[in-house]
Amino acid sequence: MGDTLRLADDLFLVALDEQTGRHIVHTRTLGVALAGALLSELVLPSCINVVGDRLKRAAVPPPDALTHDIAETIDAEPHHQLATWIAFLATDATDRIADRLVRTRHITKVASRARLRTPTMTYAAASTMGTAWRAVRLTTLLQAGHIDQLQDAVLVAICHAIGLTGHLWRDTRQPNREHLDWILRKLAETRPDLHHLVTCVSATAGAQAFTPR
Amino acid sequence: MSMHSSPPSVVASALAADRLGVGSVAQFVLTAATPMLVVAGVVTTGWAVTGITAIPIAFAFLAIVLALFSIGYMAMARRIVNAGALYTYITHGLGRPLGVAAALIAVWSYNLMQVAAYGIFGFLAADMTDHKFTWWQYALVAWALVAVFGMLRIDLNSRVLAVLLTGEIFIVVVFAAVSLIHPAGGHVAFTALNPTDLIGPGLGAALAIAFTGFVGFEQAPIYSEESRSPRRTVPTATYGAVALMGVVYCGASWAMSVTIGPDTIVQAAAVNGPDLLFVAVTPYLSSTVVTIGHWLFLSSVFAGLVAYHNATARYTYALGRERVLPAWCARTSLRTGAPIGASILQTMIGLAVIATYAAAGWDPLVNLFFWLGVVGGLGILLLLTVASIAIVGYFLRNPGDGYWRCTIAPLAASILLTAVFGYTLANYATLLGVPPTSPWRWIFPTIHTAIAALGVLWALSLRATRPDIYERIGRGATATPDTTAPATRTVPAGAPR
Repeated sequence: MGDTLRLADDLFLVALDEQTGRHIVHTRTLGVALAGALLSELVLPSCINVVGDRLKRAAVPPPDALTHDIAETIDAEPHHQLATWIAFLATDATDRIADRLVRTRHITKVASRARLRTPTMTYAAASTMGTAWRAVRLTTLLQAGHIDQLQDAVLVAICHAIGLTGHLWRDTRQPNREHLDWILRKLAETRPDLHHLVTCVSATAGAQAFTPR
Repeated sequence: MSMHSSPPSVVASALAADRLGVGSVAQFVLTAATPMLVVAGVVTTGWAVTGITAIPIAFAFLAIVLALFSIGYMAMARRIVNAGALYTYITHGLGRPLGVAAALIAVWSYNLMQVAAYGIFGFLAADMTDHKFTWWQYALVAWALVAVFGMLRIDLNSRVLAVLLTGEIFIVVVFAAVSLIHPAGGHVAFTALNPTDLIGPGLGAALAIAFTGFVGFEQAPIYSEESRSPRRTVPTATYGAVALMGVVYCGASWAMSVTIGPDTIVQAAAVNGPDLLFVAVTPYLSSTVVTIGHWLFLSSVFAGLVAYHNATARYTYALGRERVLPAWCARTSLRTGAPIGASILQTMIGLAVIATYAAAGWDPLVNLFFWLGVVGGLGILLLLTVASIAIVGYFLRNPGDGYWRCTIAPLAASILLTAVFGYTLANYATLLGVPPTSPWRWIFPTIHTAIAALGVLWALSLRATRPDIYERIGRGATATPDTTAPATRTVPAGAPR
């Protein structure tokens, strides 16, 4: 399996528990994070631009069908704020990215239904290396101070925004927090648009813990 | 005029499906208000402790005052969509130092109301089981369950709360109807509804007791971002909840006085305590119905424990995200999304209080439930009073949305609430049921003052040492803990001072 995955796909697998087939992150929080990752997939190649608190379609075509669909929606309703887009995409981001990973044969979906309970979805990796390895890869790069790809930096930033870095470091004796701080600072300095997007992910995810349902 | 209607918004449609309607928001508000606990617990204990019969009419008066307050409160909620609600509005209206003071008062007061409920829960459970175990043992069971519910996240139990709430309101209405049909002496007495009985030495105490029953309504703006139509859903739910509470509390408590008799209600409350509501209707209803009522009462208390635990945890969490409180207060569980840092803190406070009262042998009903409950309510009353002033101040600097909504109504509410607060302080000894010279009449208000002063000092120290944190005060849970180095920031126009 190749080293490079799409950002949202990578995040999906990083957050997946290979043993249970379920995500270790709460459903709603995961949705918010994946929504941010999907938008990042469009911002990184400049298919869309973050202009203040809005998103604006650019001339560069999106990289795949899913992001093309999102870009079209943004183009049709450009008046929404960034937080609204994140909330909107979060409603089905997990399912759409799961479908994309199924199409690329990274995972299979397994629906299970216990008696008297609503059906739940679990995800089985095509190979164990495809799921557990993504989290290990990210942690190793982070520990070694070798994160120099912008996509990986954004991935780390989103993981940190939803509190996932603690889980990545769970088996690490001395987490390299300095490198993490450096990544976050560099992102803020060099790509304020992506930093703003990640900030919005953090705020939206944070608000979910605050607001009861 | 365009001949073509714009296509429906895909985004709006998708988000609307997941949003809360008026009923859901009202349900959350009423659950926090715990109607049956108010009628059976607060009112009866209030009668017994203070000797004031006019508590029913006090509910009606306060419902009007709070409805007036809600006008400006809702106007503010439309301007500032922030789940931090009260302290956020105070921050935007009166500045960050007072905002932090308000936040600490909120955390303190909601904590008091939450731990107070352990007292009546333990008392009721012990009474219902013929004291098989002590009150504090039952309280500890409730404490453990609340701790688990808090860690599992709120959305696991809101459906349960909805069912219980419906049942408790229904049973309260049934009991009230039965009481009115069987008046003492054969005629319905309106003594407890006589407004002139409010005017006297016990005015402040009656108002404070009545106000405690409404605590919870102020949480409606928390749901703004989650509601279908913030401009309509939250105000409708707020006014509806205040009206329903006013009618139910006033009607049910008056009905109790009718069937027991206004001349003997205080003595009956002193003898029977929270059981008075059931004693009043036992001769006229089957034992099954009364037993169901008892269990719904207990469940109402438990629902209140959960609701206030969550409210306290949310406030603490928001302050943790703003870094006004330590960062661990903002920790959330990856799996459940629950604010576990704040939840554990509140759980430990509850345990400490139960252990202290159990070890000291203090009365769980009067000294824990009633005292801490009304003291907590006083804190929330203080917050509403300051918030009403803050709303006036905010709209003076940021006009719009109508003169009635933004100036007249909040100004009138601030005058009335200030008067209510003032009368409450003046009658504090009566409220607590202690002699006029008792030091307790100033100990609790002094604690509130000290906490507020601490909040102001803490905010000022943050301004001097951590201006980046100081600037984020008032953003609530949407504040993003910034791990980058503090940098010079431009303060947006209209931002709090």
